[in-house]
Amino acid sequence: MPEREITYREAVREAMVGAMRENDEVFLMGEDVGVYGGAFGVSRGMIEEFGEERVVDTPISEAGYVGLCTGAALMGMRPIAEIQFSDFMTHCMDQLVNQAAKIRYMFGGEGRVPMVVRTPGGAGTGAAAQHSQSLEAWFVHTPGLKVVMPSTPYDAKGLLLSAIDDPNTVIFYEHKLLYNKKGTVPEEPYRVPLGEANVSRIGDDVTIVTAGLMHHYVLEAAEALADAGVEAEVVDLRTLSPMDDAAVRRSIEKTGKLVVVEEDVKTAGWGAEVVSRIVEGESFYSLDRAPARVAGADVPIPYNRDLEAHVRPTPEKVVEAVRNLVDARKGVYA
Amino acid sequence: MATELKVPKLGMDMEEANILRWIVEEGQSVEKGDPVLEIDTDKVSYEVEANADGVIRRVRGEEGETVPVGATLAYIAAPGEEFEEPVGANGASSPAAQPSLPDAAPTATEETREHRNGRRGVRASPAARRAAATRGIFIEDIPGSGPGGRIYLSDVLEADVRQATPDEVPQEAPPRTPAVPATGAQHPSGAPAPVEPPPAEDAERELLSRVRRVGAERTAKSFGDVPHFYLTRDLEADGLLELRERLKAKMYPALSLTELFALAIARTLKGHPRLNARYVDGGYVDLNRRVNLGIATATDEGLVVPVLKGADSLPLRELVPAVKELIGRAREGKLGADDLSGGTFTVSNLGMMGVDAFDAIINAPQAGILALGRVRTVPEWREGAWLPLRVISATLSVDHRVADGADGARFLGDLQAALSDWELLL
Amino acid sequence: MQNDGKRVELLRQMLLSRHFDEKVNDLYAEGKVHGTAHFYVGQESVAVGAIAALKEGDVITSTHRGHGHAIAFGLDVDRMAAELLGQATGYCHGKGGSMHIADVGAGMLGANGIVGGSMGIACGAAWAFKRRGQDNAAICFFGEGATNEGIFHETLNMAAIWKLPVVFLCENNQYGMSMSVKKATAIENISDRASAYGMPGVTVAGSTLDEVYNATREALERARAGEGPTLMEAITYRYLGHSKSDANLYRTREEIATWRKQDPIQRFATVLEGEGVLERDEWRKLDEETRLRIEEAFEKASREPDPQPESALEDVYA
Repeated sequence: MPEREITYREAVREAMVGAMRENDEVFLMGEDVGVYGGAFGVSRGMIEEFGEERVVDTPISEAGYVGLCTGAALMGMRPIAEIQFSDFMTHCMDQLVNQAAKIRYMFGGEGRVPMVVRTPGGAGTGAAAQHSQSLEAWFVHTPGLKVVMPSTPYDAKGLLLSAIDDPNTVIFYEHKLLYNKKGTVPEEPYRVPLGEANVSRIGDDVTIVTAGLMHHYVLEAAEALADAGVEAEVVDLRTLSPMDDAAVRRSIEKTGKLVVVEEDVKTAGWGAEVVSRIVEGESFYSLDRAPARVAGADVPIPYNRDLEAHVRPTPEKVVEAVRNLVDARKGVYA
Repeated sequence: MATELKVPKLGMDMEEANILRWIVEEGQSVEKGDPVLEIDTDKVSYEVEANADGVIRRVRGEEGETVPVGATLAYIAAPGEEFEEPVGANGASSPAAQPSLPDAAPTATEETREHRNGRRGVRASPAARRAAATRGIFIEDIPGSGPGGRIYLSDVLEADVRQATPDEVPQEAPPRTPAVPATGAQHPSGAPAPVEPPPAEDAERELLSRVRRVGAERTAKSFGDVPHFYLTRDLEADGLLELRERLKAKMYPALSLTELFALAIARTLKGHPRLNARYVDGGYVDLNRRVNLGIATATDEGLVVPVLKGADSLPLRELVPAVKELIGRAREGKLGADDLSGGTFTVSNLGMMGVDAFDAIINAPQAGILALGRVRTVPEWREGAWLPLRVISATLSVDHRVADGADGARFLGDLQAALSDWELLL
Repeated sequence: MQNDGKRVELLRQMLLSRHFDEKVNDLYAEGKVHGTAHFYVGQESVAVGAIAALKEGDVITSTHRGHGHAIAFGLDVDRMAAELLGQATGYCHGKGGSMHIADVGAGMLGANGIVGGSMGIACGAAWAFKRRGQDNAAICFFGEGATNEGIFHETLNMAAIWKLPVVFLCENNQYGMSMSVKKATAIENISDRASAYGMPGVTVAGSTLDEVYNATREALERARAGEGPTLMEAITYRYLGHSKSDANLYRTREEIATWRKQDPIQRFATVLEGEGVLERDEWRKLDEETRLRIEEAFEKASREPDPQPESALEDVYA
């Protein structure tokens, strides 16, 4: 069978459709997910197949319907809640952080909340400060939640199916600029395990750890670096929590150099966690350079195109960060 | 007012020292002259003494840290004095004493070294530190190639290769067995440095003292870089021994054969400038005007070679106590860096330890070293009869780039003549 | 209306609830338990009356003031006592304490430390019943304070548009901590808010068990019939402070004494007496019996093992 290419958007939809066909307890709930097909068209066509009982348009009540999904999950259903922009997660923080994340623990191991909250994050669309944030670190910081951030159509489908299967609440970060990205995706259902990073490029000179849209920036940067004789190893975390730091460690043992590329703001971003786990463990002794982070500036995302580009990571910024690390070593890469 | 205790400059070329251990802790009282801490340069270990009476305050510098000359190590506050650290007191005297690390700078080697020397502590990556520790390399000895002289793993690996495999090794194994074991000199030319094997099961790995490590590096380099040749000859010693007997009665403390040899060698070298010289890359030879004679001395810490400056112009009466004093200080580990630098030729005497004869490794960049054995009595067929003759075996090692066999033979001939007839030295 | 045996059982549940909280209050005073707890004393008829109207398979969500709901729902006072003492055998194995007692399998979906925090969960349970075509419903308990939280608005609206089988039962005990309901809202009755969502609103005398029972039963019938949610308001009063640290500065002794005169347990016992279901000395006996039952529960709990420290790291993920 020839390899089939579909978009990231279609891959997400295919996972949801597949899961809903497999299991009657799976349903999708969110603002404008029905006839409209979702603000980014992810659920387009689904209401036709599953009806408004299972592809549910909600009032603009993020706390309300995420709370409802929490309760339905506690009753054993498999809800998928879509939050139109990840910035709106702020509306349902109590439901996610105080309820969904903690119910099992507070109840002494009784009950589970197998819910998926899908939401597009990230900047680059000119949507300014309230529609462009990358707040995933908040949820990485919350025990009881899992956080997934796929970068390719293949991973989007496989990880979403795993997330729906998972007995815990999973925050599933999509990226607006990824929806149109195409990639090879098998038609049949398959699972990509949560908590496993993917080494998407092999190299000996530097380890670049990333996730989501930034993974594409990093691959672009890695090609430019290769032209300059620097071979980067790229680790796409895919899941931010639980974090596959073992994969990062294995790579660091080889390269001795760590650069983290993340779209969220630098201060207390998840990249800091990657660096900390390397620095506080045995891998510290493998480091031959101080680790570096390429991250969003510590500011809200501005509107103007140039201003926005200025505060976001770019492939060029990644190249520069890597060169700053390796070029200090004379002769080796000349 | 508190008195500053600074890193002393122990030699012309000393720029930094390594803190071996603190003898006195912060808050303890000292009297002027009490040893406060022990420091180590690449040439010498030294006890820094209190320069005032009082209480030690604000001790700086961890053990094992490298500190620049002139950096403040501690303050000695007068008893009862409210101590406040003077603003900008530390290292204000000279840029070299500035203890803070300069900002990242271009990686030109000279500049890098300068920065490295002008800071407290060593900036090395964790990987570099681990590699240096497992290889027994002193991280401070490694030039860093990174900004501000930061030491990276690659620097350690390069240093390791350098140490294990001299840059230029003769294609064939050296013809003679060296007297001083040369670490790692057996590696064939061009072969990559072997991966550090763990010690054998029945072996215990010991980290060499700094003196021995420096010695190991230097002898290995010299033995690899310098094309040695060796001339051996028995020197008739009757005249020498008689002279010593005569002078013993007149001089106190009694003079030794080493001292007499030092005089004879120094003065004989005046007539053999090619042996009191150094090879200069590019095809030059620097002929030294003075003879600064190195005297190889065994100490508990390893072999050191204190230098008797201007040995060729010292009268015997001054030379003997000067040599004794140098050797004494060497054995106590109290040589200054200047005592160890500037040598032009070296003598190494193992006769008192019962060795008949041996070959020494040239103390580069010098061009020659004379190895002396014990006094032996040999039968000599002279005028139709076997006569007992007292001799001392002398082996001259020469840098073939600087002098040839005939040059060396002539020197040994003149030395023999001097030993037989001391008046020739006048 | 329940049969006689059932009605005595309801009195017994109220007495258990009362003695449980009074015992916990004593233990706090003695310093024998840590953390905090919120006492249900004075409100027992609301939980017991409402829950009496539930049937097998129905669920409830509770609040920070949840001991009474748990007991009325049939939770084991031994395991509740053990949880209060932080023991390994408690409902939450010592991880939840007073504010998180739950028995998810039985349908008690948890006390909740966040005001209004369980309103979404109750809707979710109702959603599951509806989706699965089950003839079940949920009661969502909350205080009048929660009605000023945003989630109150969101969940009542959603439950109404989707006709979810849920009864929103507001226990108006007059104070959100120290904030009087008179100061916190500008309306006469909390139940007036129901009209904003297109659902019936009803206010009942919370201290009268039968009133609570009847109104709840009606609301549940409506819910099961697919007609959607009801906002019920039960007027009630807590005798003790908001929590154990409350000095009662915002109300008078006289006010508390007035409410105590219409004590729900006294009232219901008197009703049972009037009906000839129970003699006065019988309910005195029941009172003593339940008091001893609670004493026994805490006595037993005090001998239960502490949880292993390492268990603190378990149960974060399923």
